[in-house]
Parts: sequence; C-alpha cells; structure tokens
Amino acid sequence: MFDFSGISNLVFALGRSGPAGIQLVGTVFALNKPGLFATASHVAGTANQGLVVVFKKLSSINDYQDTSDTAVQSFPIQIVATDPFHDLCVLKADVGIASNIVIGGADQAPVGAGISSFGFPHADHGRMVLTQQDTEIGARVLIESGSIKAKHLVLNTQARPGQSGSPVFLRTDGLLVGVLVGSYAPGGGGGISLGGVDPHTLHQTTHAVSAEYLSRMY
Amino acid sequence: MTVNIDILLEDEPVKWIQELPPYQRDSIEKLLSDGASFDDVAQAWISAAAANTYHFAASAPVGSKGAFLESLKYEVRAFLCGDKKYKKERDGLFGEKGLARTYVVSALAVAIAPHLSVASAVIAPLIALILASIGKVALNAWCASQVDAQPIVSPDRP
Repeated sequence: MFDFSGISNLVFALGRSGPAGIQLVGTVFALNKPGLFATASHVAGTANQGLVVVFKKLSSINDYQDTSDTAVQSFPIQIVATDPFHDLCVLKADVGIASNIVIGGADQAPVGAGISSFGFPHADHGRMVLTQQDTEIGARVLIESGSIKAKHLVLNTQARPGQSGSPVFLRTDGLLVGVLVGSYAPGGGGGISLGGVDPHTLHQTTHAVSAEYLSRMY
Repeated sequence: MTVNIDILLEDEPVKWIQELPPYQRDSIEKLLSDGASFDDVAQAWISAAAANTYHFAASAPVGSKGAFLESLKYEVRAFLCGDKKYKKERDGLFGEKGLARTYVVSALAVAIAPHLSVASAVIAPLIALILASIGKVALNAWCASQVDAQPIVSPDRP
C-alpha cells in the first residue's frame, strides 16, 4: 500500500478572500512542477480576485486537527489554464511547493480498484478538516459536457461540498487517476434543498474526471 | 496601423482556433466538426458542465452566463475599434510587426480581463472564437459594420 502520510503538505483548501474573511470553495492539490496546483474548474470559478490557497500547519494527516482553531494561513494563487469541458483548472502561485505525483488516468483504474481521495468535506460550513476517504471504483463512465464526452470514474462513496478538486489516487501505488468533481444527480440537481442539502446527492455515486486531461494543461 | 492585424483577420478564421493549446483546440474542433458555429462553441464553452452531475464546490456560481458572452464581445469590439479605455494596449498591439495570433489573443485577454473581473486565462479561448467569428474582413470594415452594437450596461461574470 502507498504511504499517504505526507499528503497534508500537498493537498490544501482553496478559498476566496473578501471583506468578511476567507470563504472556502473547495480542494486544490500541488502538481509536480513548483508553484503549480490543480482543482476542478467550477471550484476556481472565473476570477483571480481574492483566490487563495488556505492551510494550517500539519506535519501529517494523522495529526489531530483542531476544529475550534479558525486561524489559517494563505497565499494568493491565479488561474493559468482552464478546461470547462473536463472541469479542470491549473493554477499558479509564487511558492516553491511541488509534489512528486505521477499523473495517470481512468484507464489505469479498473472497476474494483481501491482508491484514496483527500479533500475538505463540509467546507461550505467553514469546516476545514483534511479528510481521507477510501473506497473502490464502482464503474467507469463517459459523461457528456455539451457534446464532449469525458472519461469519469464512479467512486463508491458519498461526497460533500468542499470535496470538488480532491485528488483521487490508486491505493496500491499512489498514481493520480482522477479529480473529484461531484456526484450523480438527475438534471444536475439543485431542484430541492432541505437544510442546504440536495437530497438527490445523498448517495454513494461520486464522480471523478479522469486525470489524463490534466496532463495536457501544463 | 491596422495592416498587421488585417493580415490575420483576412486569413482563414479557423486559424485562430488552430493556434490554441491542444487541450482547448481539440474540444473546440470537435464541436465545430459537429456543425456548431464559432458563436455556438463560445456559448458551449461558457456553459459547459458535466451532465447529471451535482458539483461539490462550496460556493455558488456567480452571474449570468448568457450575458457574459455579450459583454465580452462588446469589450473585444471596444478594443479593436478604438475605445479610449484600450488606447494604450491597442496602440501597443497594433504597433507590433509580424503579429502572431497567439500574441493577439493573449494581449486582448490581458487587457479585457480586468474590465470583466475575470482571469485572462478564462477568456483567451473565447476571444479566439470571437475573432474567428469576425470572418475574413479587414478591421476597419468590420468596425464600420458594428456602429449599432450596443454596450452592455452591467456585465455579468459567467
């Protein structure tokens, strides 16, 4: 099994800084070139204004993360490439952070393969807890955006707001095979909200776009 | 002064697309080959979203996607046809010799992005599509045909 204990140095929250402070918008992770990061394009949005990488000092994902500590550190980041058809975005910051991730894709992730994803569930409520989710690939699907079909992985787990942009790795060798973008919802959801939760999203059919599209963007 | 860009505008419009990075070009060429117009593709680019997928970003999208493309077209017209607010950037661009399409797209994107509060990387492929949609026409002739184009009062981000 791959050792993900150092993942807290590579996966961060993405936020947007404004007069009221920083609003967390999703998950972002370091690519294998200094200063470059990736997330889902719907997370980064369209504007650079106020966009920041947000983090707390964690030596390991095994550290106890103090949920009452709202003090965070951040640095600015800017969009340098966006692909809305595959819901991916590459960003650049003036920092030396780089990962040693190897980018693969859905072709290397057969149904039943074990994966780990890392992200910030419930970030819409301001909760900032780097969380590992382990599950298996339930299916490999083609999903249309316009008439552009893209390879996606179905992850057999439930995801929540804040996890979009999470990297999805094979547990065996740490190969990056996908980027979490959302969950199945008829018509894209958004029709019903109960306490801020769309009941159409309460299931274990989470979508991750194949990471292969990312390798063409930087 | 517009001679340099006229050489590009009077050439095959699809060349604006062919010089985009492959990850953008491939999707756009697929849509064009399916019969979409440059304008259709620009709208598809703005409104792209995986079918039947609920996004787990922690923030809601901002603004009207429909109005954004019209706002962007207005700004491209303003840049190319001599609006005062783009004078410095326009003079700089049109003063260059041997203009390359990638440079033109990039220059327009960087100049226009702050006026629409968007990242230049987001609008660069859209600008290439708008330039392609102009067709094979000299800049002054195109600008003369745009005199009735109305400004967008309150531009929305996509």
